[in-house]
Amino acid sequence: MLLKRLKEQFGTLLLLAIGLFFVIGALSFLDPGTPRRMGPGAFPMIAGLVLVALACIALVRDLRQAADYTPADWRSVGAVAVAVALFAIVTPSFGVLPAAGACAFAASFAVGRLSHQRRAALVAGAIAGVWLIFIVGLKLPLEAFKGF
Amino acid sequence: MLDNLALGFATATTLPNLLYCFLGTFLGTFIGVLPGLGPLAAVAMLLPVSFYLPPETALVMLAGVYYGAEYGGSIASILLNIPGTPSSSITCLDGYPMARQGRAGVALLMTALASFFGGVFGILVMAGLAPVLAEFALLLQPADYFAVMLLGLVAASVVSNSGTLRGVMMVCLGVLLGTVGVDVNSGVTRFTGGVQDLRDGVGLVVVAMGLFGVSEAMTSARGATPSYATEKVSWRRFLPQADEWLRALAPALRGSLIGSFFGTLPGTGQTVASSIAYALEKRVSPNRAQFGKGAIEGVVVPESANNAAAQTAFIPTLTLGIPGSTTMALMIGALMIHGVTPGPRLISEHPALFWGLIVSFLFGNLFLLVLNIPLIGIWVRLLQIPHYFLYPAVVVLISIGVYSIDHNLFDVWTMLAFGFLGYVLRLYRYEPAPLLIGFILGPMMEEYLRRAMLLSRGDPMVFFERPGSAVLIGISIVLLVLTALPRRKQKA
Repeated sequence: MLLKRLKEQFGTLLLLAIGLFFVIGALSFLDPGTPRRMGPGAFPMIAGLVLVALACIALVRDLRQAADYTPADWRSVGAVAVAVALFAIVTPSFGVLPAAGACAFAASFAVGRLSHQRRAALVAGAIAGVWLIFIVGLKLPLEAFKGF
Repeated sequence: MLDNLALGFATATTLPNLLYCFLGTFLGTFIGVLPGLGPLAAVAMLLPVSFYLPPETALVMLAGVYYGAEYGGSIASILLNIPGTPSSSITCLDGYPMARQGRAGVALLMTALASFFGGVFGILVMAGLAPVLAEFALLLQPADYFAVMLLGLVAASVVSNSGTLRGVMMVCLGVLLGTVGVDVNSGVTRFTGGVQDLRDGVGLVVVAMGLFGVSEAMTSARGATPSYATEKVSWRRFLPQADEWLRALAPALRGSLIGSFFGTLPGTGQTVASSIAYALEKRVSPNRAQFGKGAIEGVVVPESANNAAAQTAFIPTLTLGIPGSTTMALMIGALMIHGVTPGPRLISEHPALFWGLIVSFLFGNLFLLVLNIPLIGIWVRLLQIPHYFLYPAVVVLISIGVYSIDHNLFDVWTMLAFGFLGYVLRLYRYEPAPLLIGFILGPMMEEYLRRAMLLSRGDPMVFFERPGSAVLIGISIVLLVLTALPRRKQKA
């Protein structure tokens, strides 16, 4: 029961953890300085403490009533994440245009059912679009193809 | 004043500036019409392009993109009941009912005219107020700047839909993320974990594209392609009835006034302006019974407010160097890249830039009017792009857009991390918008806080002794207390 309640509070717990990370980091590695000459650690510590305090308040308040949250749609999340990651992986070895194609291909799995023709059209369109906009149109110094 | 305007005209009417102003408004409208992509995404995508232009032209274009996207957002609101931008969500309330009654053409025309009216009103306010404010800003001390930003952060968290507590938490998270990188005062690196790429901190565009672009694609990619409410938008259906012209005038004026006011407050921006203007109009309008059922005033008011605010948001941005909204922060970034530091001295040091920008706003709004009335058919067709093409295309565009800023793939990975963060936070009803404001204002706040404390020899009372900062901090506290208290009175 408590575990389920805590699962509902994952977002708040995440913020609490981030706040603690910054407070602990500031306290252990950064100089807080004096009120007159505040060091690099002072401001992150203050902001972190405020976040930690507010996260605790939110936690106490929300634990009393069941909090509503939206369950994650892992298919869309995964496809979009893989798409962005593929772009970053393909670009250094093959150039921007193959990366754009790979990115569009992976991202197309985020949108649900799609016929093969449409998927092919999407990938071709993405490559052509990137070529037209970024390389022909804006003349950005990007490497279109690499290692061919 | 006249000399200045003449200089502005001379700057704005050079062929490249006119051309880029037109291009900016066109591209802005294009991106703004697409659901889920607002002015922030539009400006972020075109930011790298502007690096290759002279500063005046770059600003003229980005500003055109900005208010073009604002305008484009309202088209999707009216025809599909899907706000293209958050600030045009209010326009849905009456615009969509009008479209369903077969009066989409009227709604679109009135939107264009109201936007134009509000935009011009905002420009006049800006031309009159900005130089005065710049003079005044020279008197401000670090404590006052700190208080202005505090008010901006409080305003941003109070207006967030998820409640004040969550809003303030997101602001704090943004402030913390803003501290990553080298501390300018001491040269110490903070929270980088030894990663070289983090020494300069995380880029604003990277955070913005991750939080809004990537997480938006993760959230909405599976949605259905929106279906149409309207029949063909034809020419004959554009003209409102004779009495509606008169009825629209007073609301347009009220909307512009409210919009101009909220636009100048840092951190609030157009969404607040249009929702407050609508709420107020609903109380005072003689036609209030019709609101929500397709009242023409319900389209005119938010649109005029929204566009007036879009223009006046430039006032704090250019004269104080404090961004009026998230999009304005990108504008500041663009200025800095061109070696122009926004602040009280901008108007006197770069008069051609400032006045040229103001005059280009006039042209830009004119372009919008010209662009939108005859070309409405094109925008309507754009709305029919199926979502299964739209979202993958968006993912490709933001990936390559972020990469092209610095040619650094680390930025792409960081953007992905922020996409995850934004997605998870959305699931748990934490809105990313206040986070971004905190991320932008946080480093500036720290700077001014430290300077103020140094000047006061470590006495925090300085914030309450100076009248300016005392009043602003007072307003911030009152705002926080009023909105954070449980609303028992309403139930009773």
